[in-house]
Amino acid sequence: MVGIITFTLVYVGPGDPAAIIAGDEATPEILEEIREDLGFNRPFPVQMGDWFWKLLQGDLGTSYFSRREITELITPRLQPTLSLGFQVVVLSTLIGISTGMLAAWKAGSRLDRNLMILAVLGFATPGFWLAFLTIWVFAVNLGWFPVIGYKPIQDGLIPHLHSMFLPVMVNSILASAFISRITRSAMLEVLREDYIRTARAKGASEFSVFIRHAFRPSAIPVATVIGASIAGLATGFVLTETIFAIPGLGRMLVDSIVRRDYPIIQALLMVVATVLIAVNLIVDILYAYIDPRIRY
Amino acid sequence: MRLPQRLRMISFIVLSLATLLVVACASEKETVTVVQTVVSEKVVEVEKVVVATATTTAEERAAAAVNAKKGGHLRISSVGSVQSFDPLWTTASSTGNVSSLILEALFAYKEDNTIGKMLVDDWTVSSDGLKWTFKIRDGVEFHNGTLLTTDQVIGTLRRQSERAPVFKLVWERFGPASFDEFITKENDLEFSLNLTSQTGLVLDALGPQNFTPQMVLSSWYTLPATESAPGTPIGTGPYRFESWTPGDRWSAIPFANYSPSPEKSDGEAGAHTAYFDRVSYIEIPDQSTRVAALQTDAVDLVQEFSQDLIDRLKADSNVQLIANPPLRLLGHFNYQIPPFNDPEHGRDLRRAVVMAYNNEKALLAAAGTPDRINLCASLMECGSAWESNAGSENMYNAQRVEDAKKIVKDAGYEGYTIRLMDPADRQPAHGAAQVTREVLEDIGFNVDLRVMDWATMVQDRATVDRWEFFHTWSGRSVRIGPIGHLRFGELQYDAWFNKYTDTDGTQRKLFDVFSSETDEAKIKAAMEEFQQYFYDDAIFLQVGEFFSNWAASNDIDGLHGNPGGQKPYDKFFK
Repeated sequence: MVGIITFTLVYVGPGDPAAIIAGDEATPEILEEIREDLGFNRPFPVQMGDWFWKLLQGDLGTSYFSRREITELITPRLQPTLSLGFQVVVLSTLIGISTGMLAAWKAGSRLDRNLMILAVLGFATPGFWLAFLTIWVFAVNLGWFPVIGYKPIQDGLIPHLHSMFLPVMVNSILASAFISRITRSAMLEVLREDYIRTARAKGASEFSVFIRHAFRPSAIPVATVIGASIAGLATGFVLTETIFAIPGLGRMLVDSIVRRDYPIIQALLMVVATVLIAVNLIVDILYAYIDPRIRY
Repeated sequence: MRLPQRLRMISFIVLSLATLLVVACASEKETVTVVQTVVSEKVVEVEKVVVATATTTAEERAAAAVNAKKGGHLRISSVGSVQSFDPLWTTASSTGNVSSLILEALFAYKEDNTIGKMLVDDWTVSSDGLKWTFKIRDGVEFHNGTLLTTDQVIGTLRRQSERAPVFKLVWERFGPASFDEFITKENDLEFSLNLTSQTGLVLDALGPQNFTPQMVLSSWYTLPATESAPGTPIGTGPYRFESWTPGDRWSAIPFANYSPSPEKSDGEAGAHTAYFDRVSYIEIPDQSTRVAALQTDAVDLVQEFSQDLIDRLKADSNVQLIANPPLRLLGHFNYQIPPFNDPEHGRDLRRAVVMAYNNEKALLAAAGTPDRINLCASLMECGSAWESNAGSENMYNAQRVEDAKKIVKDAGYEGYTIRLMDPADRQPAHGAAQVTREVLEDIGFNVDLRVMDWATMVQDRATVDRWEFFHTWSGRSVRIGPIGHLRFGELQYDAWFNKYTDTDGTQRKLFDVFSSETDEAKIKAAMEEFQQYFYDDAIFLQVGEFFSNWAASNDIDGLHGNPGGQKPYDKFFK
């Protein structure tokens, strides 16, 4: 279904890669020759059938522009995006859960209000603005982090983390804001339950009440939000990778859309859809682990 | 009892936050190392790197070249993403960068806009002017060790025969029907170009143009012109391809066996020198990031950024703004549908748009500030030998709205809807489109402003009935004059979006002068006539000239705009 929707949307969208390839001086004959060469003149069902048949064989197709296999083009782009995604998920989860729990613990206090103001600011702030702000402050003025210059993990973990620090921070701040809000409200809801009162009555420490009795039951909405934030990251990375010049899948998608390199667009949308399905599956499995009462 | 419990809680949260801090601290510690590395590299660059060509005059450039030191790593920010390394297949600027380093053509432009030798050693012309025999330089090697022969030359010309516009023009209008009769091999170092009638464009046909025939090996020249060559480029240029990280950068290093032209370096022609140990093109798609990368010494040269970033760079003492040749902003009429193709009123309506237009306002909307624009009425480059203002009086920047309004009304097109394409992702065209909308509405048209991205516009303009007007811009075409003008010239006669209707044959007659005549005085007179005809018939809207923004580190000396004879534009910059 994802494949059908993806292919149809790309097919009906405006833009003609043949016109882009042909250049301004091309004659109609050249333009037609390029269209023929790229297979645009075939009927829609034939094009889609051909694409599906190749997809079933693990062949994502060939780029119109570079004439390279898409799997060959995607492979070197995976590491930057996966690394960025992993770091952002870990960091935003740490920040979000920590600040959410702190706010719940001090509910109604000045600390709680300040943390929630920051959280609201976090998800109200446009990603591109925050990205440019961090570049201006930490790269141009302070010189602490590079503006560009992605370093792969093979160059060393520390250089890699250093080169990724600003994009990771920007995405983490944005993603953690929502996690923090949800953690706080879920914790507050659970803290009102009778069994929390019982735990306190039997003399359990506040730490034990929070971590052992309150956090686990409230983790289900938090896990849901983390799963959803991973979906959001897919679109966020398009922006982040473009601004920070990271050679990942997000930038590849933008470049392909600008050029109307349809096979790459289709392939990347399929990759994103597959990742989202996998994330949802993992979150569903986690539900059962977090709450043993849940059975599938 | 409560205090220790609180402390445990606080400890847990603090530990979580501390984890984050450790990451930050680790990175910060590393920052010092990296900064030191960059600084030490910088020292190397300052000591070793002196740049390519020169300051303002050819003499100064030659003197600077003599004193230039070699070494260092030049990092250039590339605007587009490289998809193909085949400049014979695409005119994308990101691919065109390959040309200047790795590939070479038979001829190139000199400083004074004349044609200079590159891979050609010499040539002779038969007494009737119909047979041109060229000898290529002996001993020129490709980067894989293959010697350059006429096989590669003829193969490359054959591949480009359908796409290199000047070559195609000369073949189609002045050559025999068959390519094999047009270009013939004499021996391994000589080939001939055979004509059926004389033309003054032979050297231009083998020189720089869109899809310039640059010499490649058989693995590339045997491919169809419409197919991108796979793999990386192998040429005869001063640098050879080194490595490519898709989406990030590609680099080139000096070619040890490079055989430079014996001619003195002059513009893009003559002897080339690989001054740098490495040249890298780094892809930075966002313009603000490009500028920040220059300011933080992550790159040495950046191209194309918006006017609002200029002040930031002017305030940076480590950065220089580069004099760059101007671009020419244009507006296209659709000559194939009403109202601009109306046999009775089309010409008048086009003239109405031109006479009502506020060129200054459009240029400012396109380029930002007065120091970035040049009100230029000439359809060829202002400052060039082709410049002419014939016919532009009371037409260019005349803002005769009332006169134009009457023309539109009398023609019966008042309230007619003009579909104006507005590529919002291209500021020059987008800015001008906003002014055009005002002008068209002021003179009585109804405007359907169609906001889209550039790629959509490229598609739509190829479809006859989807538009009436759009803006675009072009570079220079100084060398061969009006026939080389991308937007209306001979080269565009059959192009897929132009289709200007030369109703009385004037354009054809004048083009014949430009392509056949060798007397400069007659060509100049024809230019004046053509300029007059251009405004009389309002072939398109000449908006004016604007300057694209480039900047470089101060450690690089001697940068100047593209060679080819442009006047120095330093007066426009700090």
